[in-house]
Amino acid sequence: MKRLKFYITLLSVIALSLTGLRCTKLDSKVYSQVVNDNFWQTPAQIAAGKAPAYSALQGLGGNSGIYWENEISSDEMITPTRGGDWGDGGMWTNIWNHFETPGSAGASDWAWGDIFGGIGKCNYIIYTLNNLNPAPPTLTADLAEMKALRSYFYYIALDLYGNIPYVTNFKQDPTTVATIPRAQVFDSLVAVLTEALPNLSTVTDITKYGKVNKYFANCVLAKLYLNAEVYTGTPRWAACIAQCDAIKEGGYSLMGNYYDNFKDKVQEASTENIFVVPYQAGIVPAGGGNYINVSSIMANNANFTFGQLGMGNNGMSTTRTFYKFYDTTSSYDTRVVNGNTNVYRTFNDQRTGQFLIGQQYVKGVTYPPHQDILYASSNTGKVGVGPADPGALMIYDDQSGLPLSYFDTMYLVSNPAPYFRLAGLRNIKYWPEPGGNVGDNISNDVPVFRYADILLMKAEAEVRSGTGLDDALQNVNTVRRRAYSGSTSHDWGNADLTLDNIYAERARELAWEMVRRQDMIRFGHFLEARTIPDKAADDPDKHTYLLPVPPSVILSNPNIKQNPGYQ
Amino acid sequence: MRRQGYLKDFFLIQFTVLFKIKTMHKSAIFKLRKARFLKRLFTIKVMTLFLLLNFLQGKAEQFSEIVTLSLKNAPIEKVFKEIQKQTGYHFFYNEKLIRDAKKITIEVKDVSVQSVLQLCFKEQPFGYAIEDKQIIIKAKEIVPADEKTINTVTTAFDVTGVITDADGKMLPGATVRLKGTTIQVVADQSGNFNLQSTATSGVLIVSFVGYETKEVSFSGSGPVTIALTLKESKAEEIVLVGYGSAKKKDVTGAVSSISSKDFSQGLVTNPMDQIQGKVPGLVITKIDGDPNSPVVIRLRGQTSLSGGQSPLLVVDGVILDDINQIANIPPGDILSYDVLKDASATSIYGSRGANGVIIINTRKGRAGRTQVDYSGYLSGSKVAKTPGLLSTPEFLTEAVKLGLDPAQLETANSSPGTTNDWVGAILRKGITHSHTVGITGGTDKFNYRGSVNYLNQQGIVINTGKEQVGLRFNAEQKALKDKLTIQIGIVSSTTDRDLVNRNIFNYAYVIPPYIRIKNADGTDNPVYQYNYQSPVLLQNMVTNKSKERLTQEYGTVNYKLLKDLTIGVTGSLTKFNIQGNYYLPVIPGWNNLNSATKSSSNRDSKKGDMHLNYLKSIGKHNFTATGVYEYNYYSYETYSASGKDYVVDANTNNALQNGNSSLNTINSGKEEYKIISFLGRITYNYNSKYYITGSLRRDGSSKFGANHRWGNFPAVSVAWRLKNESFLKDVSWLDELKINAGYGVVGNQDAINAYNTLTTLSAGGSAGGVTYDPTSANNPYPVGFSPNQNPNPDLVWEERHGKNIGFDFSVLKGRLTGSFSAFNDVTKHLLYNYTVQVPPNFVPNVLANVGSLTNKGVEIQLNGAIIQSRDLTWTLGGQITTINTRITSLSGTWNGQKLSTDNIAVGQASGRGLSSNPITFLIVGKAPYTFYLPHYVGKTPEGLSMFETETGTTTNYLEAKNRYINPYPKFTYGFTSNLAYKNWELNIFLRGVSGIKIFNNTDLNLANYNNLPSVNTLKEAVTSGLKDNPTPSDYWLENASYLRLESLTLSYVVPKINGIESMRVYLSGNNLFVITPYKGLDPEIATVDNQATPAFIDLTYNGGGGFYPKSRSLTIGVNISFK
Repeated sequence: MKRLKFYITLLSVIALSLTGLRCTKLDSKVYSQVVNDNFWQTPAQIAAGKAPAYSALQGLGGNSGIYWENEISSDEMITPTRGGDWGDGGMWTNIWNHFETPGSAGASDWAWGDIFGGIGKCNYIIYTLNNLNPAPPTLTADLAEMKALRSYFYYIALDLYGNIPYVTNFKQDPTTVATIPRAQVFDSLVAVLTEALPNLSTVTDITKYGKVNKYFANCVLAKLYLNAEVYTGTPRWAACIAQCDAIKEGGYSLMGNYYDNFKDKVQEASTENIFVVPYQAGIVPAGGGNYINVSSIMANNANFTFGQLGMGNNGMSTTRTFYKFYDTTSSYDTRVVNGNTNVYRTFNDQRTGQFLIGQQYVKGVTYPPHQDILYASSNTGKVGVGPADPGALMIYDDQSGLPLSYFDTMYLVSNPAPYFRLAGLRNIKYWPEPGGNVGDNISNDVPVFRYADILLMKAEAEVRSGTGLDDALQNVNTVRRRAYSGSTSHDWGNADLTLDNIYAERARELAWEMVRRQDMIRFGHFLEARTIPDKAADDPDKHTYLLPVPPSVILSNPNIKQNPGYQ
Repeated sequence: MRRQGYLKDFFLIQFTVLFKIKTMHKSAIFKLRKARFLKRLFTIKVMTLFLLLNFLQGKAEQFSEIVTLSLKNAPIEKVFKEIQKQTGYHFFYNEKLIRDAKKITIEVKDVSVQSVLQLCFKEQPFGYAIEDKQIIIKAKEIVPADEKTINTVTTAFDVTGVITDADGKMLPGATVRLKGTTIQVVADQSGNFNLQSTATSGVLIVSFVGYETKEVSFSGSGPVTIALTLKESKAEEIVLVGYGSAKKKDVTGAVSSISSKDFSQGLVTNPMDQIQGKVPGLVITKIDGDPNSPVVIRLRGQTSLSGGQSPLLVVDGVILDDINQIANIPPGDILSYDVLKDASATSIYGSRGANGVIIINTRKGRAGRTQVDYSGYLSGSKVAKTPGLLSTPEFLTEAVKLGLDPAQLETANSSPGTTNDWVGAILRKGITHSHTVGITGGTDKFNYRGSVNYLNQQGIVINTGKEQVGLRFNAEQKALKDKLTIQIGIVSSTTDRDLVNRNIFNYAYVIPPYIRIKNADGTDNPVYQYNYQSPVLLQNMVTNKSKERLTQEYGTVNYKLLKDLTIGVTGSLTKFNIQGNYYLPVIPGWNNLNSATKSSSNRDSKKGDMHLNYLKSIGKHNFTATGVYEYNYYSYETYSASGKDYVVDANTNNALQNGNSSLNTINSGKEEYKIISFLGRITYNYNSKYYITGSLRRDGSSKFGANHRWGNFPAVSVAWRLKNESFLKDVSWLDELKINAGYGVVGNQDAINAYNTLTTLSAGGSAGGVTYDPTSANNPYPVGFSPNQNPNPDLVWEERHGKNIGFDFSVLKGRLTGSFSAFNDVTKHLLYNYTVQVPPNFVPNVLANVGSLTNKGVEIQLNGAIIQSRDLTWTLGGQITTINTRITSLSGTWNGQKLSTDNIAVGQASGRGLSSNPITFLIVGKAPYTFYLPHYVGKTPEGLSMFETETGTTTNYLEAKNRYINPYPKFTYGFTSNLAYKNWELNIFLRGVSGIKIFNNTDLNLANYNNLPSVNTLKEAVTSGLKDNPTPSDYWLENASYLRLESLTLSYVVPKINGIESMRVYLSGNNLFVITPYKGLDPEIATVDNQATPAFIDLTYNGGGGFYPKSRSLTIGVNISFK
C-alpha cells in the first residue's frame, strides 16, 4: 500500500513537471490578419501592399477635412447652419469665416490626419519594398510611383499648413522629427518628383486609371511651380509652363461634354481626366463612396428629381457672389408633356448647369444637367409633403412644408427660419445615377487633375510671365468653346486675357474641385471681406493662408511648431 | 449548498474547524483535552472526509441521514463508529468524559441520526451537540444554582407540543426546558415532546443547535407548536475565495457574500438583476428596459480607461469567457454570489482580477430523498415613463407661428386634427413567464441535481423579447473508500432574441403628430422621410433576431493522495455561439432593395488545471498551501454573409444566394490566445486569532511580446479576530470583531487584443482600404493590405495595486452586524491609445502602458434585527458606497517617444447640428469623463442662451468661460426592509444614487425649438423660451440622483399540505417608483464609456444608444417543493 502511494506520488510529480514544461509555450497563430513578414512575396501581394497608399486619397471625395478646408474656406462653398442642422459647434461657419483656431479646428485636424496618414503609408511601403530580398523586378518603378504619390500628399500639406515635418524614412528616429520651413519642403518635393519622373510610366490608358503615371507627377510639379511665389516667395512661371507642356505629351484632350468627366462609368473613357480617385458607392472606400453630391442637395430633391431614396444632407451650398461668375443666359422651350405645359431651360454655358436654382420638379433635371431643365409647369401638384397626387410635379420640402426652391440670397451664415433650409445653390456636377446610391454615397470618381485645369494653369503662367500669350489665348478658348458646346462666339480676344478674367474662368471651370482656396490666395483675394453672406476681411498678417497645426500633434512632439498667428 | 467547484481547497475550512475544536476556551461549558498525536491525525483524516461530504451535501441536509443499528451491550465508541460509517457524521469527544458511558443496546432500522442519538444518549451522563456534520460530546448542562432554588414541585402537569422549523417541518432532538427549573426533555423523532411541568402555565425555553433559542409561554390548554428559526450567524458563512473557500470569520480580504434568501424577487431575468444594489461597491446598471440589453457591472469604480472593466465572473469554478454569457444562466439556479473586491482577494485570479471577481455558485445535488422543486412566475410590464411631446394642436400652433400653413402640412398622409401617439404605437404591455423545475437526490456516494428552465419575456416594445430554454445537470460520485471524488456538470441553454431597431425611438419621438400611424385599410403607413421612418413598420416588417447557444461541460477529479495532500485536475469546455438573422423586405412605398444577413460567431474555450492541496496543523499553528497549474485556450471565430435584391421576400435570409450576386458581401475572422498560469497560496493562522494569507500568481499570455509574456501578481493580507482575545472574551454584547488589511497586485489584459504586439496587415476596411481596377472584370474592387496598428512589443499588463482595510462586527447576539471597508487602489501601466505622430509612426495612436489612475473609496454595510419575536420579525439592512476616481497621469515615453496626452476629449454631445462637440474629457488630476462646459446664466429676450465669461456674459458659447464638472455620484446605496408576521413576509428594497450628473443630450435634441416644424419636439421646446441652436452647456447637465423602489414583495408560506413539502407564493412589484429631479426618461443610464453610450451622456434618442424605455412590472410567483 505504501509502495503504491509512493508510485502514484512519483507519477503525479513526473506528469505535472512534464506537462508543466510542455504547457508553458505561449504560441498563438494569426488567422484573419497577415503577419508582415509573410507578405510582399508575389506581384499580386506587392500590388495589394501598395493599394493602401491610394485608398488614403479617398477622403478627397467630399467627406474629409482636406476637401472641406479647401472648399469651405473659399467663396465657392458654404455650409450654413440651418435650424439645428449643421451647427456642429460652429465648425462649418468657422471655416467659412476663417475663424479656426488650434482649439476649435475640427476639419483642420482631420485634414492633417488624412494627409500624414497617407504619407506614413507611402513611407512604410517604400521602406518595405526597399528591403525585399530578392528585390522585385519592378522595384524602381514601384519606388518612383510611391514617392510621387507621397509627394502629392506633401504638396497638400505644404499648401494647407506650410511649415510641416518632412519625413521620408519609415525608420526615422521620431525624436528627430521637426518642423521644416515651407520653402525647404518645396525644394525637397521638387527634387523627389524630378528624380522620379524618368522611372514613371507614360501609359495613359485604362490600366492606369486611378494610378500614378508620369503625368501625375508633372501635374504635382506644375501645381508646385504655379504657386511657388506663395510657397517660397520666388515665382517659377517658366517651370510651370514646362510641366504643362510635358503633360500635353500625354495626349490629353477636353471631352465634348463637361459632365462626362464626372459621370460614373462614362468618366472612365475621359481623355481629359489625368488622375482620378475612383469611388463605388458602398464599396470604395470601404462602406463609403463619393459624398460631394449628397452632402449638398436636399432629401426630397434627391428622391424625386434624381430617384435616390433617403439621401440628401442639405449642407454644402454656393452663394450668390460665386454664382455671379457664371453666365446664366439660357434658351427656353415650351412643350406639352403628359398634358402639362412645361417650360424647359438650357444654359448657354454648360457649366452653369452644375448649380440647382429655383423650384425643383419631379425628374426636372436630366443628364447632362445644363439642358432641358424643367423650369416651370402648369402642373402644380405637390410631392414631398403627404402622398403625391398622381403625376404631381412640384417638389416640396417635407421638413418645412415649403416649395423646394433654392435661392441665392443668403444673408446669414446661421438662421433657424424654416425658409433658410432652402438657402444656397446646390451642386450636381457629380450627376447621381438614379437608384445607384448606397447610404449617403454615389459612385462618381473624383478628378484630381484635369486637362482643362492644366490649360488654364498654363495660360495663367503665360499671362503672368508675359510669354506665349497666343498660346494662352488658345488654351483659354479651348476651355471656353467646350463650355459653350463648340460655339466660338464666346471666345476671348487678347484684351480679355487678364488675370481677373482667368481667375473668373477658373471659378466657372473648376468649381468644387479643390482649387479655389489656392486660387484665391494666389490671386490675392483670400483675405478680402465677402458679402451675401457677410464675412469680415481677414487679419492682413496673412496667417489665415495657413491652417493651425493640430494641438495633439504638437503635444506628441514638441519639435513641431504651431504656425504663426495661432500661438 | 455553498461549496462547489474547486474541492481541492477545502482544507481551509478543515483547519479552521479543527482550530475551533482544539482551542475552545476554558470557560466554555465543555472542553476537550489535547488529543494524542495519532488521534489527531485520525481526526484530520476523518474531518477531511466529512468536510468533503459536508461541502457536497450541505448544511441543509443535516437531518436527512438514515441509520440502521443492531447492537447489544455495545460500548458507546462502537455506536459512534457505526453511525459515522453510515452517515459520515463524526464524533468529537474527550475520552475522560465517556469513561462512565453506559453500554448500549439498540435495534433501529432506517431512522434519523437524531433519533438514534437521542436514544443512545438518553441514559448517558453526558449530552451532545451537532455542529455541521460533527457531533460533539459534552457534559450535561449545569443549571445555575439560583434557578434551582425556585424549583418547588407542586403538581405535575403535562405540557405537550411539537417543535418544527420555520417551514413547518418537524424538528427532532430539540431541548425543551421549563424556565426557572432544571426540568427538560428532548423532542422525539417527530419533534414531539411531553414535559412534566410543576405549573399549568409557564415559559418553555426551546433550544437546538443551529437554531435560535426561543421562549414560548404556555397555559394549560392543548399542545403547543413551536417553530424554530435557523440561527443566522454571518461569521459562520462559508465564502468562496477563489480556488477554495473559507469561513467568513477566517477571510482576510474584502469579500461580500449574498445568498438566495437576500435576492431581489419579481421580474428577474438576468442573474445580475437579483443582487443589484445589494453589495457595497458593486454597481450593476441596466442601461435600459430591453430584455436583450446586457447589464453593465462595475466593482469599486472605474479601474481602466480602455481596458475591460467588467469583473471576472466565475460560475461553479469555471470562468465565463464573455460577461454576456451570464444572461444565459437561469437566475433561479443560483444559490449564492461571493464578491471578491480588493486586490488581495482577487489576486489569486492574477492577470484577470483587476476589476474584481464575482464567484457564482449554483444549486447542487444533495443526498437523501429525491426532491422536486418548481418555481415559476407570471409578470406583466408596462412602460414607466414616456416623453412629453407636442400634440397636433400644439404642434400646429407653433407651425403657424413659424409662418406655415397648417393646411399645407395636413394632407392625405395625416389625420387632420388628431394627435397620433407614435410612442404608444411602438409600446405594448409585456407578459413574462418563467418556469424552473429542479430535481435533486442521491446517496452519500452519489448525488445529482438537474434542472430545466423556460423563460419567455415579452418586451414592452412591439416584437421584442426573448425566449430561453436552459438545462443544467451536475453530479458527484465518490469512490475508492471516498478518497476519489469526481464531479461533473453540463450546462446547455438556448436563447432566442427578438431585437429592437434602436432608431425607432428617435423616429417615434420626432414624427410630427399629425402624421397617421395606419392607413385607412389598416396597413402601416409607410412614412419615409429624411428625419424619420415609420417605427411601427420597421418593428413589424423587419426581421431582426439572434439566437445564442451556450454549452459548458466541466469536471473535477480529486484524489486524496496522502493524509495531508490532495491532488486533482479540473477541465472545462465552453462553446458560445451567437447567430444573427436580419431581413429587410421590400416595403411598399419605400422603393427599397430587400436585404438579408446571416451571421455567426463562436467564442470557445478550453481550460484545465492541475492542483495540489496540502494542510498541516501543529499545536495552535495551522497552515495550508495550494499550488495550481492552469492552461486556458481561447478562440473567437466569426462569419457573416449578406445579400440584396431578392425576387421574393418569402425566403427571408434562408437563401442568401438568390439575390443580385454583385451585391453580396462576406466576412469572416478568427483569433486565438492562451493564458498559462502557476499559482500558489499559503495561509497561516495562530489560534484563530491571527491570520495571514499570501499568494503569488505567475501568468503568461500569448498576447504579449516574447520578453513580456510573464507577469507576477503577489498579494498578502492579514486579519485579527479581536473577539478571541482575552480582553474581549467576556464582553457579552460583542459577538464578533475582526479587522483585516490587505495589499495585492492584479492585472487587466482585456484592452490588449490577441496580436497587438505584432506588425500585422489587415485587408480592406479602414486600414488596407479598397481600390478600383476597371480592367478587371473578375475583381474590380481589390482590397489593399496595410498595417492596422503601431505594434507595441513592450505591452505589459495593466496593473491595479490595491490596498484595503476593513472590519466586520456582530453585536447583541447578532441583532446588529456590519462591515466596513476602505480602499485605495492605484492602476499603473494604464493602457490607453496614446497619440503619437505620423509619420514616422503608422497610425496616430498606440496602445501603451503609460498613465495611472487611482480609486479611493469606503463601503459600509449594516444589518439589524429590529424586532425578533415569536410571530413578528423585522430586519433592516443597508449598504452605502462612495468612490473617488482620479486620473493621476496620462504621459510617459514609449519606444523613445514622448507620449503626452493630458487632455483627451472622449464624450461628444451629438445630434442634429452637433458633431465635433466634445464635452467630456480625460484630464490629469480630475475624474475620468469630467465635463468641460460653458456655464448657462440665463437667456436674452430673444431666447438666446447667455453664458458666463471672465468678465460678464456672452451669447457666443465659443467665448464662454468653461467649467469643469465632476459627474461622478457622491455615493450609491441600497436599503432593504423585511417584515415577517407568521406566514407572511413583506420585503421592500430601495436603491439609489446621490450626486450624479448626467448630460441630457436627449433634451438638447428633442427640446430644441429650431427643429420645429420639420420634426416634433418635447413640450419643453416651447415652454423653455430658448430659441438658439443646440448648444452644449451646463444648462443640459442635470442632477440625476435617484431613489428607486426596485422591488416590493409580499409572500406567504402556505401551511402544510399533504404531498407538498413546502410552498410559498408571492406578489412582487418592480420599479414601482423613481424619485429623481432628472427630466429624462430614466436617470439610470450607462455611466461607462463604450461606443454606443458615452459615459454620463444621455443619448436616449440616439440610434445606437437609443433608449429602450424602462418598465414597471407586477409579478405573481410560486415556489413549491415535493419530496
